[in-house]
Amino acid sequence: MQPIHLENVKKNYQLDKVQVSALKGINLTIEAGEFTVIAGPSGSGKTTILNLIGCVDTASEGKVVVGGKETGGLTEKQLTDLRLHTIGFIFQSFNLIPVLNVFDNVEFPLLLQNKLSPQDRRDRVAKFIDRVGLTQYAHHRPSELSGGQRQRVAIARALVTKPQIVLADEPTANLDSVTGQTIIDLMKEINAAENTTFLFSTHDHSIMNQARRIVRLQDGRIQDKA
Amino acid sequence: MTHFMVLKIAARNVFLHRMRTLVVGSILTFGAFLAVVGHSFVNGVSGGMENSTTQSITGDIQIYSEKAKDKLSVFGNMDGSPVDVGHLDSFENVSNRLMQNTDVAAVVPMGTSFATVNPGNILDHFLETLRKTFKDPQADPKDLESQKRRIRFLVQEIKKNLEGKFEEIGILSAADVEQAKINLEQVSRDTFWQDFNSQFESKIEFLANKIAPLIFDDNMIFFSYVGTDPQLFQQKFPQFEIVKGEMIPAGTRGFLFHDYFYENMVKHRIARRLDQIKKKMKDDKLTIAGSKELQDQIKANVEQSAEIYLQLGPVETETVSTKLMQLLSSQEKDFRVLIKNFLDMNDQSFQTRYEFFYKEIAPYVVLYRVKIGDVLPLSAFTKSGTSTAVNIKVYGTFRFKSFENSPLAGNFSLMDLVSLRELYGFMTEERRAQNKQIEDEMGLNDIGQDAIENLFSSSSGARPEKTSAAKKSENVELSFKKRIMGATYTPDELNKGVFLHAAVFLKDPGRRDAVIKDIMAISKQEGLGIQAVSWQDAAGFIGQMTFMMKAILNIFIGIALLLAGLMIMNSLLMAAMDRKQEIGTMRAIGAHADFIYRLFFYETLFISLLFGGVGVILGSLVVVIIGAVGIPASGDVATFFFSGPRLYLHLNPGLVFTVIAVMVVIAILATQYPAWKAMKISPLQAMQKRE
Repeated sequence: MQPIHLENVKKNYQLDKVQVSALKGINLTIEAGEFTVIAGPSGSGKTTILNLIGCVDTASEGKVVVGGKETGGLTEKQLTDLRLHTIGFIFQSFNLIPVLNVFDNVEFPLLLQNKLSPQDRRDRVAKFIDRVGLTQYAHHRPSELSGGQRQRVAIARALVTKPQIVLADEPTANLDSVTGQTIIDLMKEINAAENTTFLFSTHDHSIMNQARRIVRLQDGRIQDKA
Repeated sequence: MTHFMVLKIAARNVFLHRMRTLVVGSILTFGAFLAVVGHSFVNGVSGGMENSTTQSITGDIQIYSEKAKDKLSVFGNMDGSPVDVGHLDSFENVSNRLMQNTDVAAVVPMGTSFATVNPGNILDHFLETLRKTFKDPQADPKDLESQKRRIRFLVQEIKKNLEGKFEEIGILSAADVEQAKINLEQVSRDTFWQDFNSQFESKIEFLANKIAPLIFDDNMIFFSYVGTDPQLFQQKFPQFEIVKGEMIPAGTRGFLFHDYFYENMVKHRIARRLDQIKKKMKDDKLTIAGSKELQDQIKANVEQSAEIYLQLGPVETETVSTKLMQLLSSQEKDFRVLIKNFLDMNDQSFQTRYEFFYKEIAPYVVLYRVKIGDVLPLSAFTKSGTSTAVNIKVYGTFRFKSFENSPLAGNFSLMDLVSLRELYGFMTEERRAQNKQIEDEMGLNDIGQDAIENLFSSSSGARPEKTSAAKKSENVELSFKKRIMGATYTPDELNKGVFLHAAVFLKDPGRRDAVIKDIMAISKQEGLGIQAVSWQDAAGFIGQMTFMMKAILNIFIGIALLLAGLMIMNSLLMAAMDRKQEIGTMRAIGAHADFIYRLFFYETLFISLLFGGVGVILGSLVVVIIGAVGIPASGDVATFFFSGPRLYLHLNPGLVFTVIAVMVVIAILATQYPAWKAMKISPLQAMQKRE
């Protein structure tokens, strides 16, 4: 089963009185375990694609299938559940909950899922915090961490539920290149170990080149598939 | 599991925004504090008012005629006018029927109304004493002469006081003024007094009729009274106790002043003020130097010093004068100036002069305008406006234990029900028989079954042919005015006759509303013609007062809490906008909208309960502390509301619970809009990029 499948997807925005077409008919299928980069200049539609796949936005036209589910017909509640159980998010500006410490932030989606026993949950959280190398910071608040550390917390948070798909919108944009590289390495490592499907956007060429597959976007259309 | 996380986030947000939390929190604390303390206070006051009302006059329930024109209001209307509640025919029937109800402990018949008594001024008083002395064969001739001198002295004083002032007073017509001057001149001459002893009856009559009215001093005593079965009343109002004199003997007509009224309205004005000043200095630790109120009373005493010197005869004046000169170390010869100087007291001199007053002056003045044992000529207006009068003996004064100082409990003086009926315009059996006799003599028809005034009231307009008879009967009525009716009555006369309303006591006052319903139902079924109301309703505006106080208090609390609610709402709304990305992130990660709602709700709940709780605890502490010590009542108004010298508060667990419940409600209400706004925040917000 393909975790992501887009068929002739269009997305129009109303910006003031002007209709803006962000996506002009996208066909894209991503296989399980792929490590894919969406590349393209600003305004090419990278974020829009991620939003549609991430079920935080809906397409104006076409079919979006995520985790085997066609998102067009789902209610807000069902979309939320789909996000919770199928997708892990990594944001450009990390988006940690500022009042919670590292451990709590990572635990957060597990609590929402409410599937594991408290003991299993704690073990899982500890494991993922260890995985991103932050065990000694487990009780620190996000404000006490560096940018790279924060993004690692975000990665742990995205992965802790063992999602089918991890979406990352320019995960390295707010990081220096060295830190950005370690984040990419970490993502690749997890991709290899867990066979999690990774899809992330970037305009950083050095990172693009490390992807197994690059989807190039230009003006709302896919240019080629490398 | 998520609840704990939500709580954690909510609590941390509360601490993160400390300033905001503190501002909102202190308003909530204030609101909760005010609610606990204020309500305990108002409950204390209303409890005091309830006790002083139910245990002095109303009982738990009042019953009265269902055909009453006005609503029963035992304290009269706010403007002091009486109410017309009609009447019920036989107390025995109603009482017997009500007593079959197992909840009812006692029924006490009543009628409440207003009456006046004019005990006569100082000259009347001296003349009456003199008349008695003349009639007493064992009287000391020296005493007689002394009394005559005192009256002559007083007449001189009146003449002196009025000289050139008749026009100023302006009550009398020009002709009357001339006559008054002539009369005054006449009684000042020696010739008037030379043959006094041989013609004392006519001389006293002349002085009483022509000279005494020239003392233009408002001597009327106006009071509320309750007419009842005094023995039953004493038994069923357990706080009742006799202070001065004795209880009205069973089966005897008689009158008891309420001691509070007697001390405040009947006592010599200067003595009463001195008592009040003494009490305030002792109880409220006031000083004359520091209190405008006490200074005013001292000033009033100085201005009314005539109330002393006019009451002293020449011999007493001499005696008191000498002692005053000693006390004041003064050479002042003018007694009036001496008295004025004496009454102008300060903190240092008050105690000695107070004692001096009671030891040296009080024995010579009329300390109480009505004395225990006097027969009072009470007059009142019947409900249709005609005036009636009865002469009734004052047996003593009474009060209600623990409400000694409550003006509310002290509102009513007391008389027997038979006299009330007469004063209120119902004919007693006795009077009806006498009327019959007179009618027979005069050849009139029977002029009515119940009350003479039925003939004059509009409802009897259907009998115009009786008008002439009615007019004559009015004359008949007048001829009875000065007559003292029989001094006794039979139990049947008391119980089978008319009454206006009745106090019903319950075994369990908590069953009040149920019993009121029962009584109404029974009355309807069996045609008793009565209606029942709670003591609050019966107390009229007094009963509504606690309701008003609660309403005002609740408005204040409401404003404080509304303000807190609005501030909470506003700050939550701002928080929702500030935290768009955070909320969007939570939503993107998979939090449902209701999670966001709970996040906001718990935050408010946390603040409300924490700060509301602090307010409740502070308030409870204050209530418990004040509950042990009591708030002293300073001033008449406080005494009125506290129904006693001190107000003790009690902490009501129900109140604490209610306040906490209100806090939760505020949390719920204040959360709705901001939470709704927050729920609408799209997970797309999480994708907003911040460089």
